[in-house]
Amino acid sequence: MISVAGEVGPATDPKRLRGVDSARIARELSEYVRLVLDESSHFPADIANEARDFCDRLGPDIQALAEARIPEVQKALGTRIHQNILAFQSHAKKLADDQQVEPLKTQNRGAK
Amino acid sequence: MTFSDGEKIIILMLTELHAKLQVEGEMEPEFLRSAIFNDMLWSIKWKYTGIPFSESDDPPVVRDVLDILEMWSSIERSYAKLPPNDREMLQQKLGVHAESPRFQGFDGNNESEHVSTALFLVNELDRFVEFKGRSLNCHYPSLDIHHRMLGVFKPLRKKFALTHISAADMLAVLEEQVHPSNRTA
Repeated sequence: MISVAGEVGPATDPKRLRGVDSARIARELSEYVRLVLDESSHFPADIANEARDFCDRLGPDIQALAEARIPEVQKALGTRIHQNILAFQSHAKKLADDQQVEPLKTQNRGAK
Repeated sequence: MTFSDGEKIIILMLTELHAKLQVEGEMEPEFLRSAIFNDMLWSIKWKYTGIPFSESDDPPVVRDVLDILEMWSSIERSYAKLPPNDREMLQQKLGVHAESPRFQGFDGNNESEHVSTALFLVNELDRFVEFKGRSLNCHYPSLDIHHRMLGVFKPLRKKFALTHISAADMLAVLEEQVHPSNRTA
C-alpha cells in the first residue's frame, strides 16, 4: 500500500504527476482504510484504537486526493498520506511485536 | 533520459531474462521494452517516480501533448458539470463546436508523433485515463486548433486551477476551434 501512496508521495516530481489518476489512487487507499477498520475488531484494544485514529486521520486527505487536479496539491496530500501510513505501520508493528500479535498484511502491488 | 545502443540491448536482454525467470520485482519488463521499442525513453522517469533520476526536461512534443490533454480534460470535465442553460448558451453561440466538446486527438498522418505520445501517456502510463479507449486519431490537421485554444486556455488555467471552467471561459476557449478567418462578427 505504501507503493500506491508513493505514486503521489514525497519522492515524486510534481511536473511528472500531470494527468495522474488520483481518483484511482484514492480508491485503492480507501480500500486499505476499510480493510484496517474491518480488521481492527480483531486487534487488542490499544492497536484497535490506534487503527481507528489512523483511519480518521487519513479519511479527509484521501477524499481531497480523489478530487485533486493540481500536481503540487496531489503531492502534498500524497506525502501526508504516505507519512501517516509509514507511521501507523511502524507503530502497529511495534505494538504487535510487544504483544506477539500478527500485524496486518496487505498485498504488495509493486511499483507503478 | 537517453540510452546508448549498447544499454538498450543490455536492458532488452535483462527484460527477457526477467520474464524467463518469472522474477517478481518492482520493475515492469514489458513497460521497459515498450519504452525502448517506441522510443519513449522519457517515460521511464514518469513511470518510476520513486527513483531519484538526474534532472532533465521532457522532449518538447511531450510537453505540448501534456498541455493539450490537460486542456481537453478540463474542458470535458467542466462541460459535464455545466447546467443546461449554460450548455444552451454555448450551443447558440458556437453551434456544432459546443455539442458535447470532446477531445478527438491528432492527425495520424501528419501529427503522428503527437498521436503516439498521447497514446503512450494514456495507455502505458495511465495518465488522463478519461481518454482511454479512444483512437486519438482525428484524421484532420489539429495542432493549429489545439494551439489556438491553448493560447486562451493557459492564462485562464491559474484562475480555475484545473478544476472547473466557467461557461464564459469555456466559450472563449471553444471559440478558438473556428479559424479566425471563418468567424462571424
